[in-house]
Amino acid sequence: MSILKACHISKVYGKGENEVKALDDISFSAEKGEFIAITGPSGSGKSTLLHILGGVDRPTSGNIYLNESDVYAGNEEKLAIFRRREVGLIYQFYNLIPVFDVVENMTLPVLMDRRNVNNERLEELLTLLELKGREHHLPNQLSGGQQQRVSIGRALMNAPAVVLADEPTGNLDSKNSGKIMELLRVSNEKYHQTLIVITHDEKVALQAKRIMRIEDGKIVRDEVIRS
Amino acid sequence: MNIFHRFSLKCLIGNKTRTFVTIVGIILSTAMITAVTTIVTSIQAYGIAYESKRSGDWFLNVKQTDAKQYFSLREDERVKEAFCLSCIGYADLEGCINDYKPYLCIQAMDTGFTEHMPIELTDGRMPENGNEILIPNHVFEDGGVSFELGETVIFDVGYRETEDGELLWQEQKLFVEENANAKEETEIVSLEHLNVREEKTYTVVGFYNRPHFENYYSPGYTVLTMESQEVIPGSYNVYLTLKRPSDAISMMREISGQGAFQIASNNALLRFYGVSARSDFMMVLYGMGGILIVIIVLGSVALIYNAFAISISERTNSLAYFRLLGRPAGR
Repeated sequence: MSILKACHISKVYGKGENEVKALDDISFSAEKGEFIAITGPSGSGKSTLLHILGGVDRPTSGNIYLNESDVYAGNEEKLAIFRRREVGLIYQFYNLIPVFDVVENMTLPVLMDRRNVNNERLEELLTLLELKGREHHLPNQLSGGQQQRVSIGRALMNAPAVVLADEPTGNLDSKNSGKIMELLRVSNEKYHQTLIVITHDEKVALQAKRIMRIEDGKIVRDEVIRS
Repeated sequence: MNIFHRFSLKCLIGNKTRTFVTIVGIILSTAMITAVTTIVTSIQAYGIAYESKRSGDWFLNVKQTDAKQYFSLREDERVKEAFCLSCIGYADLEGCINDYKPYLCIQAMDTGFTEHMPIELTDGRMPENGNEILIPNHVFEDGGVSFELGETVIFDVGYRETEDGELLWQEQKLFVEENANAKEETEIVSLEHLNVREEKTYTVVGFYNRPHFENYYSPGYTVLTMESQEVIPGSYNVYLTLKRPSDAISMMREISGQGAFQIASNNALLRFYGVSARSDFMMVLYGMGGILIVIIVLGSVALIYNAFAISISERTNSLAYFRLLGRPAGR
């Protein structure tokens, strides 16, 4: 069943001579629980696509549908709700709030939504992400790998339909990279969330079930490597 | 406390020194602005209190007027309070050694006058009725005549008149023949006389310091009693305070324009209200206060602006993360 659908997405930055076409009529769909890796050279439009899929940046043309609902049809408030509840974003540089501890960072999307924290899920994620005992550590008291795990925890806390990761292992050594990808794969299998990972790393890409390659804003290859 | 308040609080706690400096800066600037405004208003209040005590709490003084004018002024909507001193008459001061001040000028106060004018008792008490008098100390110090507390005195009271029958008041110095060679000590030839009208008996109930409202050239020592009354037109000396001190100059011009009355303003007091046309005192005071406040405000703005600018630049990333994660609108 298709949960996420991108239809004729284009994104243009600048005007006139400075115009840059980051995405050029991209269309694809993702199934529920699917693990997709998006690869491509720098500047090919991978991150732009991820931001558009995540409701962070509006496309110049085209539509994104999540569960048949047009993500960009509503106003900014609806888009903010979409980002809080429907997607989990993981970045290369973690993007943690430096003054919040591990638990506060992980529960941030729930607290911003003014909902009560599901302590059971929090405990489960802390255990899964091996962050037990570090609940009240600040980001600067954690290693890079631990910070990325907090970031993953934050993305999963709200049980979103889609998890989007932009180079999640780009800032980590190979040992931590492997661990993070293993965690993402496990959570993908456990929670059946659609996982889309942008990566340069072929090893990371090969862990996905489907690999898409983008070059110059277009999908040049889209293949399912394992069912 | 929601997550955004918690974030702000943690940022503040996380930057203790800057938060402390900012809070101290705000407190200091507020305190300095308050101090400057307090100093300015205190100086003004002190000046008003000092001058009210020294020269009396009045703005305008209409001299040689009558009861009709007095009551008309009392009804004027610009007037806050009106009180008066009425001249009952003059009496010869027997044994006086000051040739230019040969009289006692008996003046009756109303209650407003006793409340607003500086009467410094040195002995005894204030008179309570028209049969009791206060004697100024310079009757002895300057005139060489002494009275006893509790002494009953009888005066032949009348008015000073010129040979033409013109009445003379305290504002008119002793009317004497002009001497061509003023440096030579010659006998004073008076061109006025006392037209005695009645005999009055008084009890001396107190002594007081030379009053500010008696001119040095006035020919009579001011003896004060109570119960102001109009003996003859022109005997009233009316003092006014106004609801708005700024009305003093226009009202003074208006009364002067009526021609029949002499009028004076209490410039020493009015300058502290910023009214006097002859003094820029309050303008200078306000100007200095204004300059100090501007300097303090500029310093405070620079301090607070910098503290906030640093704080905002530090928080920009965090605020962007909040947005990425779906910060609700308006937070």
